[in-house]
Amino acid sequence: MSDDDRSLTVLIQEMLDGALDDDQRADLLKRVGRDDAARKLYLDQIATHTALQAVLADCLPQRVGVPNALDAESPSTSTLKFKWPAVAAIASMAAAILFLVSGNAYLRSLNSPNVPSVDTPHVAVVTQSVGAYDNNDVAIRSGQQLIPGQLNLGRGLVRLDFVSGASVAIEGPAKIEIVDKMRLVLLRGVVTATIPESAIGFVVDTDTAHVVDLGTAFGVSVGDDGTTDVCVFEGEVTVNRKGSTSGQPTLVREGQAVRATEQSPTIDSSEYEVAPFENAWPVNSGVLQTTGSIRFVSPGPDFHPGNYQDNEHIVVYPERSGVVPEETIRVDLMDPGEYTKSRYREKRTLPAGIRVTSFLLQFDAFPTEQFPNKKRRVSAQITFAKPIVGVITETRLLKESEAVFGNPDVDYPSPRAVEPRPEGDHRPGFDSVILAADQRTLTLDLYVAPQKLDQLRVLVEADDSPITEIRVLSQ
Amino acid sequence: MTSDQYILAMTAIQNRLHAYILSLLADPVAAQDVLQETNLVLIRKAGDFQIDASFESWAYNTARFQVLAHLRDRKRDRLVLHESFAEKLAPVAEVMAEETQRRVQLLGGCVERLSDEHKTLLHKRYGRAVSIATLAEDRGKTASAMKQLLYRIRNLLAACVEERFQEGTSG
Repeated sequence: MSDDDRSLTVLIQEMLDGALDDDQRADLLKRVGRDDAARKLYLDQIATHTALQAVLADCLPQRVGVPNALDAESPSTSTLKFKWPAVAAIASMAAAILFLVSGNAYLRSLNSPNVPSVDTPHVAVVTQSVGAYDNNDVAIRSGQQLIPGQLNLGRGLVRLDFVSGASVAIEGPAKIEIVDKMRLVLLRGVVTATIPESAIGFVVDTDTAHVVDLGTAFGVSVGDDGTTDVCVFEGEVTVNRKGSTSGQPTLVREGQAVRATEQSPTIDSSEYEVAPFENAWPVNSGVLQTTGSIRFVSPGPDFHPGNYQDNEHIVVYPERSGVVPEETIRVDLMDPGEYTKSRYREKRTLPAGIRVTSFLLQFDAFPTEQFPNKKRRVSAQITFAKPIVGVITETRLLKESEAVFGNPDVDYPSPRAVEPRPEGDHRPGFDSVILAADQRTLTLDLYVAPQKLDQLRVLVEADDSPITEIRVLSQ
Repeated sequence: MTSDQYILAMTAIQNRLHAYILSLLADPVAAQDVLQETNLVLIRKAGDFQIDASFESWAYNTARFQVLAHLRDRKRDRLVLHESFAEKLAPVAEVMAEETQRRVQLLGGCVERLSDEHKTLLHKRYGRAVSIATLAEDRGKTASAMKQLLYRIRNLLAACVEERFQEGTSG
């Protein structure tokens, strides 16, 4: 091997290690682009690297050390087919797709058959992972069990479902310590939590604050300077200043926020600002990923469809979660494919008794001074963590379903129907709503005129508790 | 092709698509994002797939579009060069990616010839993505010594695979 070849090999290996800066990458591309031998070496090395990743994850003994809260011996880490880190992020998605399309059998082969015993020490399970890596760049995967200990999330988002029923989304970079099934310490970063009745009393501690949940949804962030912000989306929490001798907790209600700093000995009220939680909250609510012009509104008393207009985004409102409708629900779209109009009596129905969570997606444009009549268009894609069981788009069906899923305090507008392209019509300007084969992804291309709006109600299978989920997977 | 077969074909091509995208982007982090985007597009457009067409061509073509879209989105001068690099490399990259599966088969035998210690090391690096710094610390080596050791092991394996691969293609 010549010196030139050797330095090219080093450059390629550094690229594979993710260690190149833009200049070095440009140099590599230049060399590979102009020389056939260099190109061959480059492609060979990548092929070998990819093969190494594919082979080595499966053919060698598992690591036994447990460096932090992530349990290396958890069922899915030792059996997932997509083991190599470069595709870790698609692993959960692929598993999600496969679960739906190929049924349980395939998923079972991805997961270990061992059901956790009663004395399993884990206190939480990673139920969603979106591009999540720890500080050592080790991918955090969906299905990993967590035992008490420290968890460093270098980047990405994870959702942890505690065995107590509490669900916590964490946005990296974050440093947390899991104490037990009812308590975590947030040292740095952003978390959002939804706490069902079974986990009332769940505690989030920081250096400056002690937050106790009273059955709610809330967000806590700790900045680099140690400042703690607590924002309550629903219900209420109590917050104590750590180290304070007064002992009187501050009650923080829905739509309120408080702050604790190193400098102040008290808990001070602050502006209700949900922006810091806009990434973590969707994961908490069961949304895996969004792309394109879509934004997710954290709940709060002021956020309802009537008062939120946006010319550039489809806005997502989480509605009711875990509802079991007593009657059948008529829906416009249930099976993968594009939504087309059908007669009312031909609508598909969702049988009664299925536990669902509903989301309202809205595109509501307003006229601007410069373009008072301009028709607006947005495209977006949203992937839910659980299968979509029905999509409702027509005014009459939206109204019908509001009795079950709507907020009784909101005056829903009318008409607001999505207008799909009639067969054979080639003019532009029609709405397109596609439910993907994975049954979890919705692709939207919507047009609205000013003062008009499009709304869709998306019904998603409700979350199960993590314990139930593990049992289902391992049957 | 049924939707089951389509998803299985998607699952089977993941390694190859990753190799393909990685070679066009020369950036493992971006390659991971683009692979994910490609998968989403493949799912979304499952209905457009022609039943008698080659799934591989369909998937590579989708990936190529996603790579170019990614490069265009970044809108940096240097990337104009990168775009033409990716366009030019795409056909040979596809051939390379298709050969990945064969290499995977050959590599198993090559890994078996390594010492247990080296096998464990490779597993940590590739199977678990443990950083070079952590590996070095575990073994009381410097990061650059650990890098060298990994390079040497990789080169041994690459040479072994290459040798067996050439034997296979010439035989």
